[in-house]
Amino acid sequence: MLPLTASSLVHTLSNIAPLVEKLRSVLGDRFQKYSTRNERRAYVYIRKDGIRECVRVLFDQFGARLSTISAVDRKFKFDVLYHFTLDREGFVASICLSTPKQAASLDSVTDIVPAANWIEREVQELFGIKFAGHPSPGKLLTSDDWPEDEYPLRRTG
Amino acid sequence: MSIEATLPIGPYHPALKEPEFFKLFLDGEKVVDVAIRLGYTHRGIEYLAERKTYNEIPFLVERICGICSNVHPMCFCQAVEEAWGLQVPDRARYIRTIVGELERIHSHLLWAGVAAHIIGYDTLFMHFWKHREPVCELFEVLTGNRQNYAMNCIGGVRRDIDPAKHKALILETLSQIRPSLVRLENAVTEDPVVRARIENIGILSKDQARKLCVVGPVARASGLAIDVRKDEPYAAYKEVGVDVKVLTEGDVLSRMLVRLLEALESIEIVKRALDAIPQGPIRLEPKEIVPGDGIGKVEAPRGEDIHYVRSNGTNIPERVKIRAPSYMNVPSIVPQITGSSLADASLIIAAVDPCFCCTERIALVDVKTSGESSIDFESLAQSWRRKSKHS
Repeated sequence: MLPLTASSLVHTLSNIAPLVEKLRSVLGDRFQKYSTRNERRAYVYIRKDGIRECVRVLFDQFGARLSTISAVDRKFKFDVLYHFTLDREGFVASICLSTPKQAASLDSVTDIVPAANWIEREVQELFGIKFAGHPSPGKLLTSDDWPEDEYPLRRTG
Repeated sequence: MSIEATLPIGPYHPALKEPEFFKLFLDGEKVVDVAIRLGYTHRGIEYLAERKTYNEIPFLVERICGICSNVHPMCFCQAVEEAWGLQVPDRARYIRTIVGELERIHSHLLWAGVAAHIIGYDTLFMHFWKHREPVCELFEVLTGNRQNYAMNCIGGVRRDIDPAKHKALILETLSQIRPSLVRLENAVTEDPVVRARIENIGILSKDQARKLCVVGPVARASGLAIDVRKDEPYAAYKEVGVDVKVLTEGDVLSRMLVRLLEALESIEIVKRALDAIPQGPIRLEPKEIVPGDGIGKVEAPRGEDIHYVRSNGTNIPERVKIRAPSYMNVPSIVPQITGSSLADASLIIAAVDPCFCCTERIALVDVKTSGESSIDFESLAQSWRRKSKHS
């Protein structure tokens, strides 16, 4: 879970509320909490097994665009943030989830959002988070002779 | 349909920002598929950024790209300002807008020149670059550099625009290049030869554009009306306004026109910003480093640039994630190039504007005999010119 900061305000904003309510009803107990900093940024915290339903709602129903995925090494786990942009509503919905560092794995969403193809491969190569069900999980960034079990952005110790 | 040969293009010269490798699968002259590979000069900028102080990072991220070098530091600073809860002074917001739009003009003209060169119209290429030059010279006066302006810092900008001498110079330069840009736009739209070469090739449908989440002029040429300046106004775009240019054909001509129309719109934005720029300080000193998350978004000449910064309260960020616009646009080359003629390949790749302007080795592989020979990018462009002459 990401720490809530002093400036994180938990309030309902008219452009963000419909999405958050929809996600809450679709995900049930896999929806954990959400916070907004301002009318342009929403952070929705979910359990990692809800990501595919979550992405379906965002991409298919709300017309959101996948901007990128950020992974953060937090010693014993990874925080992974899927940044979706809702252009019409004018905000970024960051879907935040965590996966343990040991055998780190998430469900691939490339079959739902084709744009996730390269983004997931980048996270896989740099952090070693596997994306189960990715159609072409081959190398994209690291060189052909780069060792299989070394990940440049993963911190050790 | 059978694959007769594969044609590898790239990887690029290491001096360029995005070295990529395109492997074209051919059936005769027709491209049936393409495989893309990148990372040939992966510089580990995110890794470095997590080991440098906040003051140093704007200079580091400025080196991501040599063409739109204002975009990344501006985007990073906005992300940090959001994480720390800083309100940038109004004058700084306007200066960021002016520098950002001048950069868009020179970047779009640079691309248009490269495209003209690829289709073999070198006169047009030289005209585009001739009118780009005054903008670079203007940057030299305003910032001290033609590229890598080092204008942004966390909390504002580092140099002021002098109302007495700079304003008149900017207006004079813009009024000098504007009529030429209109003339060049007419040269593209009204010349039947140019039109025949770039119309209806490399088509990206609106549906494909949405699925691949493309950004910037590539998205806007395919009918997606998205522009960070309008959708999430940053800097002073809320006050000065933006007229977003959208076309629906999705071919190379549309991408060319969107960029040229945007360059003309940028001139108007700079003029409006110069008229409305308020007096006051150009930067503020951050008082404390607040832990938290921040997202910076900027409409780069190539599309939406996004930086995510996590601050942990120390003077070194916990995480800096950078996603440049071409990362989203380059995969859209696959549907564009599939089914096209080999001679169109170089133009289609270039039309996404991935800074494909340096000569790199190209190896021709004949699958049947496994024989290999090399040609360069110029020869590929030559084959395009020959085709245009005959048709």
